[in-house]
Amino acid sequence: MTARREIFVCLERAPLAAASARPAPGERALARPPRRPGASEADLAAVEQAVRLREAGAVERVTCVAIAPAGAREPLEGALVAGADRAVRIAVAADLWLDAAEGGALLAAALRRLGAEIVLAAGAGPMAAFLAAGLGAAHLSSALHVRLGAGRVEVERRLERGNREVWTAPPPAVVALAAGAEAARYPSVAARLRARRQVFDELSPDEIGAPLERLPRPVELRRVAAARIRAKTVGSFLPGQSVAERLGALLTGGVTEKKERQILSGRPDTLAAEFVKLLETRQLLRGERGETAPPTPPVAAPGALHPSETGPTPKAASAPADGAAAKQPPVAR
Amino acid sequence: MKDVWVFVEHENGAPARVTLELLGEARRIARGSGGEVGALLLGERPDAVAAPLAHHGADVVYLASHARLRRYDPEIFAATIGPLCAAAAPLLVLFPATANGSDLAARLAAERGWPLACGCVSFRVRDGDVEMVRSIPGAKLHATVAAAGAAPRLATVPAEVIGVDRPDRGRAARSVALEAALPERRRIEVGAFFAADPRTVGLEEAEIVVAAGRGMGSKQAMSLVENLADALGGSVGATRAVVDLGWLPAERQIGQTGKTVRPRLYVACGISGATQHTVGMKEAATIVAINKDPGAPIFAIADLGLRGDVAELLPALTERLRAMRSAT
Repeated sequence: MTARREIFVCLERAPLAAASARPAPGERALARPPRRPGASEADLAAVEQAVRLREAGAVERVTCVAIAPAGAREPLEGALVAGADRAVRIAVAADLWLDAAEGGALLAAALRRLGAEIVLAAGAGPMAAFLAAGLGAAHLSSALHVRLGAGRVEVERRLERGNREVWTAPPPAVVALAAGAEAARYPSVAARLRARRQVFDELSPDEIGAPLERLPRPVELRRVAAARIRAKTVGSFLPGQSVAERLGALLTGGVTEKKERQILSGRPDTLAAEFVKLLETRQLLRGERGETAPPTPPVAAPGALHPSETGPTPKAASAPADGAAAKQPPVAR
Repeated sequence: MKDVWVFVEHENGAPARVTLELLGEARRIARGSGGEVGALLLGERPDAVAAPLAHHGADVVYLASHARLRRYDPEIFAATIGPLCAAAAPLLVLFPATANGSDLAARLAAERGWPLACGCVSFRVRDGDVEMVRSIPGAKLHATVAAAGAAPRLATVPAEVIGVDRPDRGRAARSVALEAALPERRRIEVGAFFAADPRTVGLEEAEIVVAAGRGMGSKQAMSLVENLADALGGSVGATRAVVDLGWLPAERQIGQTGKTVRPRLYVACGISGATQHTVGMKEAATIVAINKDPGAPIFAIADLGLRGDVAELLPALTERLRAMRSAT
């Protein structure tokens, strides 16, 4: 296999992840410059993928590219420690905030200048798609493993529930790596010392024909605030419900998915019926081929089930007069 | 336009649960914007999926049926949906934050220069515009973003954030036929698909986990757990005590010193519910606990607690599931 000359790894830029970095809305400048962390886990995983391709003879050189403040050593030094051969910094102000579209366009301009044909993008965000569009390259997303063949890039994609599939494309190609891709090897002392002495190549946005004020900005940042957990809704009000019915639903938790807990005891076959009923309600039944099983009629006889009288819940509900299974009041987690 | 659309993910003739979540959210947003809810349904023969979409909020279903749409193909799907969105210009298009949903949303945004917000947890309609609130990876922060222009806004939403609304089975939706676009020149070849084997898939990716605790009593009893896992199509997990006793291998351990899992269903068999274990599984969407001790802390976090002897209950559950499968 003829080795391609170079593979490029674009490192993450996540200034908002640092708690001290709050952007000034409507502007590109962050209210406070972020602390500069080292290379992230995603960065190191991407470098590891590239290093393995070099070791397999598929490429000759691994070059890391990052948007970083002029003079900053990280995250590029971390990538060099992990095995990259060369580091290129696109120098920007320390407090610059770029969204995925702007970051992708800036990186695309730099990689065009560098003659990139195969690019690995660290991190799970959409920036890789914008980078691919800027380079006119195929975009291969959610990749766990990358293989280079004759005139093609092959990725094994990570799908939900452990499923996998293979995508292939000819270069130029941008591969966005999924979480859980190759873990980085432990770096050697020699690698650390070498990285510390290495000089980075540096490009400026103006130099690569992508001045910041001309970058596309389809998204405007308005506010950053502490995260608030959203209560999941399970029942919207049905048309025709009266005010009293809606209020009742609200007071009894009918519109939130905060769970109504049951603790039941009884005959195994009747408990099994309750178990299956829960699975049906929550669409958790899978047949042999993965299809959702059709609901079955209840088999529990009235009075066959009764709630436990003791337990960690605050109070046990008494069985209703008709003998149907009683339910415990909701318990906050 | 004020409409809100949802890209439908479906499997085996039914919409994915996350699709139903997005439809509910789309209804709420459309109520504020004064528009309709549209569902973008692409597949080989996806007609059976259309009815549940209406029950969960769709007013119109844009349906494309073609053999090439059987599996997600990024270029075909983008070529089919992109021009429709460009022409109709909905206010907002919601995508599930799955591997394929995220790919399609990012692809459309990048190719057409449309605004995209990933990992959204909520939306606010304000003065005819929609603000998208997204979580920031790696930080306990939410960023509120908005579109800078008039293009369709695209947003991805993770599963199990919104919850599924109660369906209204009296609702119906109009159907609009869509032509599948098959670009002549395509770069990406979609190759082999590998379905996960629940017996060997990593626990972090398993959708259903049946876990064994010390209350199972013996190594021989592990077969009861494995049988139930097989009947459910799930994976086997274990507490640290079970692993230390050598009943199950270490890679099956869940908890503080093991793996953290977030399956859709977690069945805890003979597990007391000590904190060291529950920290690794309490985020499961549905928890069923089987234990004979009424004071077991696991019952405090379980959606359904079955109090009884695991040696009797597990075979009964397995038998019932197998009987159902034979009947269908």
